[in-house]
Amino acid sequence: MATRSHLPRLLRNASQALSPSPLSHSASASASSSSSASSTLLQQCRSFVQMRTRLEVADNSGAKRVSCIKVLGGGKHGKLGDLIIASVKDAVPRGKVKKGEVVNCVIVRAAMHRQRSDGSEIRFDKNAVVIVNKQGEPIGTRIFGPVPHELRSKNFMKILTLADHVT
Amino acid sequence: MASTCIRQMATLSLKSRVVAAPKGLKVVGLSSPSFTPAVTPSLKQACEPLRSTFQVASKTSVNGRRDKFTVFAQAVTTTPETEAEADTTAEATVPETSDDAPAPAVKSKKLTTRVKHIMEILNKDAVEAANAEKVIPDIRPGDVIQLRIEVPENKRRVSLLRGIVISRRNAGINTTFRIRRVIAGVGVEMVFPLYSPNIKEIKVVDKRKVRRAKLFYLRDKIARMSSC
Repeated sequence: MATRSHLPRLLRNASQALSPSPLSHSASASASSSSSASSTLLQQCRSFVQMRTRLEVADNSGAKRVSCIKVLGGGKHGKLGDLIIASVKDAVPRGKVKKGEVVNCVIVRAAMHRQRSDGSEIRFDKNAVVIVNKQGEPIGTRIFGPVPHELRSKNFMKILTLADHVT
Repeated sequence: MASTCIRQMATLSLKSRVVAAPKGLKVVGLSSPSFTPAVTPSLKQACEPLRSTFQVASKTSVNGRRDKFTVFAQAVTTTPETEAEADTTAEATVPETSDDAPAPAVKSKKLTTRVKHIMEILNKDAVEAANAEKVIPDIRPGDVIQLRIEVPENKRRVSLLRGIVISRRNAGINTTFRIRRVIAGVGVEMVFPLYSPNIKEIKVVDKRKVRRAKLFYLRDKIARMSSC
């Protein structure tokens, strides 16, 4: 069985502690909160964005990785299209944001599936954000990777126009 | 005449398979209890009490040995009318006995209009109605398909989506399929109901050889495997 290093260490330990889990990769995404990572036998645990979630940055603002501090809007859980406050953990040397800065971001790609009103679902392989200012406009000038249509209803039109692919 | 036939019937054992028929008796091969038509009217009244026992016994013997004939020697005068009758009844009853044997019945689901089957019937009608409106091709895991879809979040503009089908979940009208594609370096998975009215067109572009029904292993493979 090949080791899969992309899995969080937590989950790997949890799965080893339980009965020998099958080789099969995950079934549909589980909507469990991340505290119940040990309860899911299957390998992939896709859950909400919450405090201490590490996310990629999908623009050229200078930051590479951020860690979520707070999910705005009153809930504990962040989904696709939500606004969060994050702390920059990793940044390029000469960028608009520096390491340790507290920034506002919008989640543009979420590993957890997001349902649409026609019964379809969308989900991405990784969590990613775009750093925005208080008005909701992106700080960077380019957006990398696909963005979903959900941003349209949240009025992030600038991000949609900058993105190369809207799914 | 009657007394002789009764005596002969009594001597014959019911359990024996092949009975050496005494001369003058027409042997009629029967194992079903309904052999009354072959007997001539005069004999009928005489053999009434014995026939009832014969019938009871024959029933049990039929249940015991279904694939074998129990031959009852019956006193039938070999007159032309009775011969004809006997022949027809023999032929008529022969197929009956072969049907009695447990033939492998073809299993077919009969949806009778009862409350028990109401959801199945509604489901089937909905699927048939959806199929009548639009031709939906057979989508299987491993197919690379191209969708023309009207996304409600996009203010009803038809967009083109492409991807490899990694799973199909059959549930009547709620049949869904999951598409995977790597777009700009990021893997995207989308689930659609097969009979959704928002799907304007489905086109199968390519078929890949797969040995699974669910291709979730593609999530861990390199991006090239999911790109199309």
